[in-house]
Amino acid sequence: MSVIVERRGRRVSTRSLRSNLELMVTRPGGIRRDEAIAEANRRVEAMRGPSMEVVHTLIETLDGVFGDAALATSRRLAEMRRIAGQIITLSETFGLAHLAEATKRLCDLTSALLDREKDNREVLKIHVRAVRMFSPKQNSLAEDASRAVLDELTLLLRHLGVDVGDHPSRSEDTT
Amino acid sequence: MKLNGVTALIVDSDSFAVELLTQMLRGLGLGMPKVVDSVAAAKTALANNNYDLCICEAELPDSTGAEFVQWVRGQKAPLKYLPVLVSTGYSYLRNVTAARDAGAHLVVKKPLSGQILYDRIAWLANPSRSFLETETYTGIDRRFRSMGPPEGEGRRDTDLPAEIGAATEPNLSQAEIDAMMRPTKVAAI
Repeated sequence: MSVIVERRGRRVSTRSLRSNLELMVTRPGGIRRDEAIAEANRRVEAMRGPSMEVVHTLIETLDGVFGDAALATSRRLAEMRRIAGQIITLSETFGLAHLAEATKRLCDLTSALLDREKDNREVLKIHVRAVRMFSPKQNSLAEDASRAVLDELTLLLRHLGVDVGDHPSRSEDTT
Repeated sequence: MKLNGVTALIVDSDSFAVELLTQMLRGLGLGMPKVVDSVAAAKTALANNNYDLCICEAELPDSTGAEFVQWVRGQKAPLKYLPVLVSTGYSYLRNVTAARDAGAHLVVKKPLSGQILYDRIAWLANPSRSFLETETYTGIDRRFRSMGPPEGEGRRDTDLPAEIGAATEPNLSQAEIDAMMRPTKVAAI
């Protein structure tokens, strides 16, 4: 059913819908929530091995893009940001908190440089190296040393006036 | 919740992220989703088949999730009502507002997990929220709670100021109050 009201000359149509999704999920049967979630998580966990390989490959690719002198600055930064986003998603999915945090700082930096239409290869190099340091194949830093590196990255970005985003450990609705 | 038989369309160009998402959906009980890697391919898929659910990445090679949602909302029923969940990574969080304003049912920050996916799909299937069409917005009613204007400051055109001020007219009579409480006729189709 649709209800149309006019307020101050503006027409607003409000429709109550029964979507096909609703009809499908409310059918009798199905599996319990906890069982479904456990099975989904089990399937994701089964992909941990291949995912670590992908993370490693992405870090190599990130390094390659950073060193690619043929790419225009904006294109290189945008590509680095795109790859960094993929690394963050995978590292958060599999609990690689330090890698996720270091890559977020790189993301913050590339976003700021893109906004300012500038380049800063030295600072980028520091961040790319930090990301590499936390690669699942290379990470051998102690917890306090890791924390020190991550804190330094944050300090460096703040010194440059770059907005350092929050880094919640899990996903959440943004609406 | 029975997800077996629900048809899903995934729009994402990151093949490994799609594989992870597919595994999650299958774990929750869905069948194999249809996967496309661009907005152009998604439009073709939607023209040829009906889907119960769409999960779309915020940044795509040929467009954005927001533009895709806007296109969906501009189509004829039932496609315009398609439940669309937009997922966004850390690097594109600034796209959240655009996707929301374009009429996405939900915008969710990555990484997705089994629990998040299950609960958001359950929410998408919840019929309690209306679908709105105005001059500037077409999409689901995105208000989660009815708690009045935030901090007493209304942001809608129809919100009245918090300050009531002194009365400028005599009090209403009981007959006038009763007249105000009568049901109002609205157009229904």
